[in-house]
Amino acid sequence: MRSVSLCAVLLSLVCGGASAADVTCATCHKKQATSQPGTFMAHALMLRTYPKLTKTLGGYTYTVETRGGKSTYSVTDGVDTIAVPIRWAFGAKTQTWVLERNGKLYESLVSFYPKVNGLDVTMGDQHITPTTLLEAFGRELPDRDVRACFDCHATGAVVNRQVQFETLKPGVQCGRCHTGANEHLKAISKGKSTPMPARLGKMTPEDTSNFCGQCHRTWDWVVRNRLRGEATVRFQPYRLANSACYDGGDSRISCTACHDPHQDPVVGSAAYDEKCLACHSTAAVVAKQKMYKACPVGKAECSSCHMPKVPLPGGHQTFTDHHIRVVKAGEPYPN
Amino acid sequence: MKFLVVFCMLFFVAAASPAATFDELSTRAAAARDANRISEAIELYRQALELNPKWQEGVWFLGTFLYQKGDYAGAQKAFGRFVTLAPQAGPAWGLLALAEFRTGAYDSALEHLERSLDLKAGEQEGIGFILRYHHAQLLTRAGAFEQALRAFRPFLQSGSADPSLLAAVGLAALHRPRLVGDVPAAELELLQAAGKATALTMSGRTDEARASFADLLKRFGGSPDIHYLYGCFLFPTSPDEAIAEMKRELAISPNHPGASAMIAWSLLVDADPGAALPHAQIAAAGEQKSATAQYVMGRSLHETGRSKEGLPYLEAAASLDASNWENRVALVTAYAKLGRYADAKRERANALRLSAEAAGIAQR
Repeated sequence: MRSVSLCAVLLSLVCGGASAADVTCATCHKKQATSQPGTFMAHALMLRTYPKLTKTLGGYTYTVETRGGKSTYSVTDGVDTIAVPIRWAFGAKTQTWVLERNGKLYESLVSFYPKVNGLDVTMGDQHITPTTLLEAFGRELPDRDVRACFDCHATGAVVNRQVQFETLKPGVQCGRCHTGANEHLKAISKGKSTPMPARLGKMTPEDTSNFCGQCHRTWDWVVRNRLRGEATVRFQPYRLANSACYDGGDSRISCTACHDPHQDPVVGSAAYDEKCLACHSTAAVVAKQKMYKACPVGKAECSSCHMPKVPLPGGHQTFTDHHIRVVKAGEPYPN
Repeated sequence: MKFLVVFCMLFFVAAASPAATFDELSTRAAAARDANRISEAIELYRQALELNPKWQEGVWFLGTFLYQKGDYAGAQKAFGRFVTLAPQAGPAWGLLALAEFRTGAYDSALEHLERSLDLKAGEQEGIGFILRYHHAQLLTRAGAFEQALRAFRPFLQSGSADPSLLAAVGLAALHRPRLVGDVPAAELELLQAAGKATALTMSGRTDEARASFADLLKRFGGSPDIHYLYGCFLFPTSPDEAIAEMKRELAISPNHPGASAMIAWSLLVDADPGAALPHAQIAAAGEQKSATAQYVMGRSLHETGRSKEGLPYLEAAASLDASNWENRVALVTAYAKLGRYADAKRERANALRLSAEAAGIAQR
């Protein structure tokens, strides 16, 4: 009771002067709340404007364009055309559209790829050879896929296993990860400290992997879905778990050991060296933690060798392979 | 039978040097054996064994001749004695099991068959076929239907339409823990029809299997287990239709463990473990030797936050079906959740190896 009272006093000091209406996540968590809205994750479901983009695949021609502030997606076989407005654009850079037609939702069969500044087949749909205009339009999404798409690319999207199209907030916002953030805000505005959202930083590395893996895909999800080859490189929790050094209980190797989820990943291998050297060092044992063999080749830019960049098949981009290993020339991509 | 005698003769080479009287008896026994005077040989082997109870060749031939004469209890006793003298002799464990099968000692027959197969007797030409066929039947009788179907698989590759084989496969496919010999004649037609559809499915003749299932449903669609079996056929390609069949099964057979297991599985795939749990409970209680039933129960518990309770079910599933990578994947997640990271790491490697093998991909 005493600690709760003390907490409330501290809160009133930290948040002092803010009226109930003014209290936001940023009131107390300024650093995170300032950086996170600028991240790619925060823009995971973002409408943008497009110049006229066209692509012909097989006998079908696709056009995506923005006119008068409204974007449309259309496909024609030269005789008939299906055209729909774009309401949902998934991805901050590469974009795939979830399209509505006759009460059903479809994943667009083409996507926008920044690297080619144009359209190409949606990643993973290369095996589809459309035989009708509707098949060329897109892949009809079962309910479970619709839930999965919106649950990862929006906040407050799925309630009781139903997608809340009218009330969801696009992108990953505080409440997507910090379940209970709204209730916490209401309490704070009344000078109370509880309820508190779960302390995500207290999770074990394994739980962190599974937490991030809700969207970046868990190890078991990838295996259960029989995914293999280079296409798995974008599923970092899966790749990391296959690393010989992955433990599940050692906090030196986890998603958040290297990445701050409130910021975009730092670019450049050197920035991660200290993370590698926390384990792989000839230095004396630190705080009784187990140490591993030091690299006989180099002491800097570890990830440039041990976490190679791998082109994502059909994705027009490369990903850092989180399967940390001694990479040997000519060896096949390890599953 | 003739095969068994030939097999037994090939199995043994010269015996150790006997004492004089024993030598005389054993020589006479061999002569009687070679002359196919079976009753005389049995008596001579018995006499010789009184003088030298550890004479393996004598025990072996005594057992085989008793089996040949239809004295299965006597053969059981002789082979039981033999395996104490030569515990690594896989064929002897197999013949002991066959004798036990004949006397109706099915539980010990299954145990000894498994020991025999562990010692590679199933790979021996001729007798291996007989042992594996009996093993499959006994697995069915013991309620280990999934293992039984796997054991029957090699017999189905040739497209055999032997009615007894089809009925035996039908029993396993319809989850009926019996031997074909115990089935009333009135049920045989249904079992053979179910066995035929299953055999066609397992041998990859999908179009013929589809036609066979249509026939099965038309003739026996109101009987228990038929919609379940058809649902299993549909599950890999049409999961929604498969689940509709499972629900039809539950309308005919409420609390059907197999159908409940498949519905639970579907709900787990749909990330709804809370809804899966009640179905999984019915499945696990009804079929304790079903890896699938144990798996869905373990996963449902684990994924509803009860990992400690779920783990024994997942371990049971992995034990019942050691080559199934999905069981290992579930074990990884449960071990990791419970902080058993070394176990999780081991099973992670197993799961990747098994899934690569299942996919036909050579793992680095």
